[in-house]
Amino acid sequence: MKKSTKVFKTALILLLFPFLNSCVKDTCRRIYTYSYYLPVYKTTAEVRANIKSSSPQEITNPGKIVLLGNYIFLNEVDKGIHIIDNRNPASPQNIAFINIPGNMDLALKGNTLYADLYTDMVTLDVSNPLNVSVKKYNEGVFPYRIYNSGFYGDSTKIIADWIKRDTTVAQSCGYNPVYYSPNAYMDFSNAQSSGGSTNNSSSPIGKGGSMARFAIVNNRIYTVSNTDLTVFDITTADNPVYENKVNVGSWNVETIFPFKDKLFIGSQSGMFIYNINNPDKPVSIGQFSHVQSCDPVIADDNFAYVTLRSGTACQGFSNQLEILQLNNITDPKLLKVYPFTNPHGLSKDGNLLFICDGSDGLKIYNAADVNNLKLIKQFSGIETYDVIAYNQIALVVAKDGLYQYDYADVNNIHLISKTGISKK
Amino acid sequence: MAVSATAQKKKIHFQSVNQFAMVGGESHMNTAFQTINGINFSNWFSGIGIGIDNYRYKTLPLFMDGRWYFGDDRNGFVYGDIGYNFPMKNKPGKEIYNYSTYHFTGGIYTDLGIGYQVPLYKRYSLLFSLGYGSKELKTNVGNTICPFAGPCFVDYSNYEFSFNRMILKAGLVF
Repeated sequence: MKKSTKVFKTALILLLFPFLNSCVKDTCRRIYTYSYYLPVYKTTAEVRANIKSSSPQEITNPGKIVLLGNYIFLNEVDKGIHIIDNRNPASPQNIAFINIPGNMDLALKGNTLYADLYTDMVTLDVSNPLNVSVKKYNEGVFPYRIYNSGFYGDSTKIIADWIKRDTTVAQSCGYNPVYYSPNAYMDFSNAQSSGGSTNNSSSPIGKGGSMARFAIVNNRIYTVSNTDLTVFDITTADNPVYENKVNVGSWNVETIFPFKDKLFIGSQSGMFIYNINNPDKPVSIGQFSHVQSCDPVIADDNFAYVTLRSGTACQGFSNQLEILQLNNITDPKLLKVYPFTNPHGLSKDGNLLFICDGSDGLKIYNAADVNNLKLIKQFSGIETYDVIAYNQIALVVAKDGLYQYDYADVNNIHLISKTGISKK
Repeated sequence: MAVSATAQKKKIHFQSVNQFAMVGGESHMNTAFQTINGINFSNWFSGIGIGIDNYRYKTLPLFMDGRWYFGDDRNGFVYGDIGYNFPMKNKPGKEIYNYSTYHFTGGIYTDLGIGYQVPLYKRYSLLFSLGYGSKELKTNVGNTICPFAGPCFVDYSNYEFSFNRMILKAGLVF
């Protein structure tokens, strides 16, 4: 063969390449199984008739938690409240369940429990946990309850339960697929919950976690929604009266933590401080902005402790603890930042700072010097969510159970019990 | 001289094909390398190949190669490869949003094409080829979802990729 022919053939192959490239296509197929939930509707009368103590139920999806006396009140997200007898923390007993559809938050004062029931607030007498009774419904006080994925229920009825369905779907990937939450139709967005509490009144107030959206201070209960701070007068405990609503001035308000005459409100964009000298008219006195992130907050006399975490519900990319100086309450200053893995709830008792660091477990620090936190103990192997440290017992809500740690001796902090969570 | 060359090609002998490739497909072009070692007999060659393929996700193809030489001087050839495509360390690309965990597994690797080789010296030749190939890859991806209330959980999806592309190779045969 002539050399020129060889060159021609070779060149032909080379020239074909860029033209043929455009003829081929990549394919990408996404196969995923998601769970969706079908609402089970009941009439208001049916739901209200069922709000009472019933036999204990398995804990499957724990949410907010409140500790009062010898009892733990644990929210089962969107379903109700478990009552756990904790007279012996080494062997807590799940003794009853209160069916409250749509419940995500709760607060306790004395023998009175306040809980959200979708858009309503229900007040219950829990003096006998085995036979609780409804005292009042405040209707429509939480109007901003919404459902993910654009779901709107039948407004004439109440969603009492959800039936889970699993579906496997195959679809083309595309290059910007719409993110789909398997908990579609579950409402995580706008609930209220019980928080920390301060009290000058005679009745003891339940101690809530740092993820709380309800807080009781003396004779008022404060709740936060995505944008608002709402005040109820509970001078007469079983007759809460709506008093006021204040726009916080931020989107995505998440938590509320009371300390003395201040409310510390955590939002995804910052921390807000309100003065409640006039309990019915909270006044904004300071704020601290941070990057977009979920941010439970607690405080003491001198410092505020804010955990920032990333995640799909939080959008941000920061995972850290920020300590703010509160010398000038109207102008909190960032004092120190500590990196964490995925910090959630936190609690402080004396100089001990407890931080739920997601999959890194529970971390306990000596916070005597906030500029130099010293790790005392870490409990790994659990995925922690929120903690209440009170009376030498740290109550931890984790993915697989409710843990209790004895920290009476800081050199020997140890697990004393675990209440398991049923997997469904 | 032609008779001598033909006689030489009819003998069974070891042959090594070492190639650099440009791999082009839908909106993407990258490189690949491969070495194929086997037996040449008469018009046929059969060997085992291994390489690195950087198209979309880096993979390690391990395959059987067969080729048939044609033409007066037997310098033209058609070839076919089939094998398994092992994933190398990869992370999901932008087609997967907000992943938190991932695990790749391999799939079928194929390549069919036509080429021409230019004799250089003794058994040394340059070769050029153009082929159409496909490599498959799967990945299981987890998205961590952290609702406001309750612990985080992971939502898993399986992605199945089939990358179809044109493969332009140049190499050295000896």
